[in-house]
Amino acid sequence: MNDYQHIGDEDLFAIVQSQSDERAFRALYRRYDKRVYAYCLRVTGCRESAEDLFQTVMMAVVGKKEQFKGGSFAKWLFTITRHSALKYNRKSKQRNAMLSLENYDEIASSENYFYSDREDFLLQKHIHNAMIHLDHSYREAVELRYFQGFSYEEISEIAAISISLAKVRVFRAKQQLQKILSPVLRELFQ
Amino acid sequence: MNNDLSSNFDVLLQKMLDGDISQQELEQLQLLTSDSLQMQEEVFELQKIEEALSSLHNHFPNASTDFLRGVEENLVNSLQAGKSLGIASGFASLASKSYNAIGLIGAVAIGGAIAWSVIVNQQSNQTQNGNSERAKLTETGNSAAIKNYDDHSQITTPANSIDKTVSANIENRDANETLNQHKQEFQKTVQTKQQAEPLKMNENPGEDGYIRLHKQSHNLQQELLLANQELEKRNNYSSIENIDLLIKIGILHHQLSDFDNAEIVWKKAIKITQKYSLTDYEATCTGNLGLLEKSRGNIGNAEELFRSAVLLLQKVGENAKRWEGELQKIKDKN
Repeated sequence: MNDYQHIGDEDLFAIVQSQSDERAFRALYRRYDKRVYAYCLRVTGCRESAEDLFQTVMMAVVGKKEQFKGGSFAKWLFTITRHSALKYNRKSKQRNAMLSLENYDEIASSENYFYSDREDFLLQKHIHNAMIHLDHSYREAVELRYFQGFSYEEISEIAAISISLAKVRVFRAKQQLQKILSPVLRELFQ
Repeated sequence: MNNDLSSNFDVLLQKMLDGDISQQELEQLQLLTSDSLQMQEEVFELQKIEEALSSLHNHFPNASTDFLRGVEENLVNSLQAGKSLGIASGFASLASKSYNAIGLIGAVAIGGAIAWSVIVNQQSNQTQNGNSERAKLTETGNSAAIKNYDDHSQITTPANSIDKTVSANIENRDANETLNQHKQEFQKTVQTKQQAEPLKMNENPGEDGYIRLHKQSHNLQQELLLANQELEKRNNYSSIENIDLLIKIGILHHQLSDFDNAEIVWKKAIKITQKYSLTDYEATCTGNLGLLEKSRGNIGNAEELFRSAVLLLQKVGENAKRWEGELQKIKDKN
């Protein structure tokens, strides 16, 4: 797989498309598996659903590989992920509300934090827990912007919205987080 | 949902958070907030949130490596199967062109035969590999690993990777066997766990439902086993590090309708939280005990526990919405 280390995503996927090359596929899969799984986990809020959704997304990527006509592979992948997540959430009408918060605690505690500063560490943990209270579109915007590191332009393409709306959603999400976490922030930083 | 930033304050604030603000705009923002302590606090808090969010890039929850690798193998199989079908259909097309004189039926037959051989070979290879892997596990006598393998191998058959017309009979036979197996195991679960309310034992879940419910229960049991093994590995049972694990074990017991053990585990967790003054965790366990009482039908006890959870969270200034919601549900029902 080392031969493929320096090949860009799009070129790797072109090899997968044309030759169904196993090693190219594995290299590309391993670049994105954790990222896509993280997205699935945050939008579903529960591990079992995240695993279901993750498999659906990945099968769709393989099944629809001919539909990729160039551009950014990451953007294409997350467009599929986002659509699958929306469809999945629509289907699972009765979500297990009981475990939602506890699962978010679980997500937060399993993150690899690098902060040595206790306040920042705690704030990150609280942000994870507060994410579930955000409106879906805001949560999605934060996920794409901060956890996945997409630019506003890329978010606008993935979510099929204007760049300015992408900016507004991210900003409103931060405002919602601030409102939810205001007491915590006061305690931590004052 | 407000899709515009109507106030100048919001526009400037957004630009500042994005690091996209000019000196002039920054001065404008400072002027706007200079008279309002509330606005200054909002700016400060948003900056803190921005910093924390910005440092979260590439922090991903730890997915199970076994799961990710399992899916990877699945997809590679699917990819390879697609490739074989591509080759097979190529042969069919070539046969069709080359053997034009023999006629269409003959060409399709030749192409089909090659396609069949590729598919059967592939299936046979997969089955042989699978059988040998399973045989290795059987030798070790590790029943959990065998079950895990069986579970995993059921997922590995990609629905669209095998020529449906050729393999329909094989698939039907296998599907029926698998379904019967699931049904039998599900019935066993029903008999041994009469009180398993979350699995809705009294309802007929349908064929897909049998598979789903059995898998769900099986996965939970596997997870519980692993969690308990992890707990055993740790020396100090009452250590602060074990709280997350104890909460999880309690959740798994609860999901499996083993209410008594869930209660024992959560109560142990509460003792640890009290020892270390971890009030938010104490509230989580207390609220969970409320859910447990609710599952048992003891609504009065549940209400009391939810109320305690709310009070605990309010005491430390945490959001108590979760348990307030549960209290509201009880009120609504009454």
